Amino acid sequence: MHTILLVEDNEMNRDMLSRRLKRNGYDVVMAVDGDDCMNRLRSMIPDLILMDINLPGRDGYQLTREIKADSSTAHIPVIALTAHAMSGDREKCIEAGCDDYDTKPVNITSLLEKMMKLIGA
Amino acid sequence: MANKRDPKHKAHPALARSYWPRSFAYAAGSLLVFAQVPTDNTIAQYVVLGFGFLYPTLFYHLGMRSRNTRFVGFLGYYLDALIWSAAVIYTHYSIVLLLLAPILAAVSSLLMMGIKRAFLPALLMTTILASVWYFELAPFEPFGHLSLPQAIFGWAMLLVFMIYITSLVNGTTRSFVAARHELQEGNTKIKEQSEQLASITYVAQLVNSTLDLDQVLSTVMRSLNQVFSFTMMAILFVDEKREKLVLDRMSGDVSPQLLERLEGLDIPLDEQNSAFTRTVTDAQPVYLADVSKDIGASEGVSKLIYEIVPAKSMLTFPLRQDGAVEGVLVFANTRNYLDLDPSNIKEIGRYVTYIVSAIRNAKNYRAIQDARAAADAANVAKSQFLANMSHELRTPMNAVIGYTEMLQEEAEDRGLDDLVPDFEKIRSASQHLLQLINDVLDLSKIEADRIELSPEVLSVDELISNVSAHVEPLIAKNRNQLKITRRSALGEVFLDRVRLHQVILNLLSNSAKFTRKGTIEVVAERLTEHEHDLLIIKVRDSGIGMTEEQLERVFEPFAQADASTTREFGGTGLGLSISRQICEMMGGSLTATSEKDVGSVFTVCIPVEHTGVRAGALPHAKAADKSVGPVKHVLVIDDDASIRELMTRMLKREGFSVYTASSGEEGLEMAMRIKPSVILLDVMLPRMDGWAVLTKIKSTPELADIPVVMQSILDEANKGFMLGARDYLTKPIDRKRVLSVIGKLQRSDDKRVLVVEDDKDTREIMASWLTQAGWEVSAAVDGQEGLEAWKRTRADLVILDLMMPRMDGFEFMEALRQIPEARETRVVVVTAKHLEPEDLQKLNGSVERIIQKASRPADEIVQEVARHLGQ
Repeated sequence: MHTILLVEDNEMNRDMLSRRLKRNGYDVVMAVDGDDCMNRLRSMIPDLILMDINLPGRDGYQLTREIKADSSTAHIPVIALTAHAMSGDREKCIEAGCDDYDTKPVNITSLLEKMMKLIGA
Repeated sequence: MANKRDPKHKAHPALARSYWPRSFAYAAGSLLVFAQVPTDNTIAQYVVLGFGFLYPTLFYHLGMRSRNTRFVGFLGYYLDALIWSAAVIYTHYSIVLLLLAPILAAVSSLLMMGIKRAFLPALLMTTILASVWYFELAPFEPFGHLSLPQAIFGWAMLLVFMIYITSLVNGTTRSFVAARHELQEGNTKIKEQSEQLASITYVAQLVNSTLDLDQVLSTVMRSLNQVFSFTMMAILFVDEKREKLVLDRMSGDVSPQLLERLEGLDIPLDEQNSAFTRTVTDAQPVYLADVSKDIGASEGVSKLIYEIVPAKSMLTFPLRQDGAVEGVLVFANTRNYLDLDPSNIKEIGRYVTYIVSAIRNAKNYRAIQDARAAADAANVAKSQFLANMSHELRTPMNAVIGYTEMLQEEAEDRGLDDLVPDFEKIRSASQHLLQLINDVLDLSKIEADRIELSPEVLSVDELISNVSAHVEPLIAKNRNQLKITRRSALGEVFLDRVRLHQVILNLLSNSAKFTRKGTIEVVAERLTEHEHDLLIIKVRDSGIGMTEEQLERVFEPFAQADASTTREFGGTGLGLSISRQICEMMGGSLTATSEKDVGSVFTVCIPVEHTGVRAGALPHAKAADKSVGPVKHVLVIDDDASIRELMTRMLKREGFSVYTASSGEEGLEMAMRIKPSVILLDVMLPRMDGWAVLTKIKSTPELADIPVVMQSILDEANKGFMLGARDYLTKPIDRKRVLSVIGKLQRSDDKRVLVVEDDKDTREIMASWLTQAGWEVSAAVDGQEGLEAWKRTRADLVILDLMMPRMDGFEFMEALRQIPEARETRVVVVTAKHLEPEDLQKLNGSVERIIQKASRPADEIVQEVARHLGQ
């Protein structure tokens, strides 16, 4: 079973998304902000990270850059989730080191497809 | 200098005035000599007589034809002395002959210079006579013979006298020259005055045409400095509480450091004795010929100002607005003392009235601009707010849709099938709400100017099939048929894929919604002819259609044809509004036609290869299409619509593609975009005139090579271009520019250049630059010499000054064009023209413009354009 680290500050969205992921057979670990996320990464290596971009404190771009800069975590695929859907968001995500990108509200089918592409399951 | 074509040409005064005395002297002298000649030698007698009578006239005419009459005049006196001496010797020192010359010379000097100045010659004559008496040359026998010493003495006297007379004549000439200078000076003064008049009219026009106060100020300063010399000019305004004078702006010799030091030095209005405050309280101009003597100069803030700006002389004017003094205008000279009389001050006061109007205009304009900026800011803020709101709304929507979908799945899994349709309703409503939020976001982004197109090369066919695949379920829902028709090969376009997709999808889903069991047709075609390359996509349906009133409002946001349709058909009511805005951003349009109960047609029309510049400008002013072939583009810049149309018709008939612009700014923008082969430029344009446009074109590297044909009334300034000058240089000349202009016109085997320029320095410096650049340079000081030089050298290129003495540049051009061999010779005109306000004035003042222009043969203009294109 693959472990997903879900970084999302909005409680409802976190709860909803984690439950849907679990229903689809994933093990989900949750983090509420950047510090939480980095703490979790010190004790575990997930198979994939779902990263909300709009986070309090360090935002998703910043976190992704840090993750990709650390050799112990750089290999973990990151999918950015953004509510912006502004032109240029995609470029910014990729530039920060994200492996893929999806917009919120999440279309669960398309998100699962993207995840499968990255972790091969 | 001689000029056969000038009928007013006259002999030099020295030559003219000496003619009669000389004639008389020679006549008398020859008679005397005649009497001395032995009577048996008749030939000698007649030679003497003939010479005496003919020589003065002959000499006069020879002198007239010579190139330097003054020199000939002097030469004449020496020749006279020699001939006279010869006669004296021949007559064995005849005392009468010896005396006749000084007497005549004295008489002639009396005639030429009056009694007072003829005193010295008279004195000299008396001395000679006295010395003759002293040497006891008497008895005065008319034909007596003298002894050798006496004769030598007499002869020496004669020579001294002649030299003296010559120098006197020289002096007279000098006084003539001085008188002419005085006349010229008088002329210059008159010219200055008329220039002043012209410049004040120019300032007046500038005030009416520009809102740029700084421009008005610097123009006024420039105009004034033609007569008076001020080094700086400042405007101070009374503040709102009417407590102090605050510096608003300065022009002239002003450095940023100086401005910084003056910062905050506001003059309290109750400051006593200050020239500034006196101007406000007395509402009268104050003139300080020597500022240091002013009491105010040693008190308060004014003193501090004088210390920073040590003005020698100063002149202030009150600036009155609606009766009250609102400020002070200060003219100052920090280098020299100025001596102004009341009439000068009055003169300057005339300019001040214009500055007052300019200030008022600028203030009004600023108020309008501020208001508009505030409105714009409010609008942007509103759009920004909407964008933020939409974003905030999407976050909870995320949860709503997510949980609903989840519950729906749960219900299905647990077999609670009766709940599934209700969850579906919640989901669908949420989706609709989300779509609405997205559309609002889109629309507000468009309105806040935050959407940027990212064009890419894409296949139209592929795009259409993508969209139809996307919309297939929606079309099937109402049991409609989708038909796709391609009227022509669609090829590839350079457009924003996502946005174009969005537009076509919107149109198709609208049609699908409002049509039942009908046909929806997509008709696509690519129209490519001349400068047009358009992509046209029509979406036609056989749906419920719209009435005319509905059609009118269909593109307004939230204005679905009927409010009830939202309930029946769904949709946000924003799609068409957004689609239209996207099309317009792409430089195209979205239009609709419809008939109630029959169907609607929506037409997207987008110019291909649009560069992403926001639409607005003319749809045909787009990049030239390379596939069309070598169509020559001509850009006509003229503010007169009838002229534009005339030119367009004329040039189109000749197979050119024609673009038009009605102002200099628009013309420049279009020139940058279309890079025309030739630009036809009107001299008199509103705001930015033709000369300014020309300067701009020639200083923009991308445009500098485009031939520009100036046109307007046949004024001297543009006559140069009409005569066929290929380019022009402005004074002061610049080495780089000279070499680049010449280099541009140079053909492979060109090596000879002729510089025709009356100013020695300019001529020599240009010649040295060109020589260094490897040209064979010849030079001439005026048109006439220029023509001769051209005939001699057959120069390939001519650099021609327009303003020259004798034969000016225009005459030179006319004459050069008469020479068949000179047809290939390219001429570059040197002019200071476009900088002179008077020239603008001259052009602006014309009322005959249209008539003149229309009376010019149309063929001439066409030929002119063709000539530029042909070479």
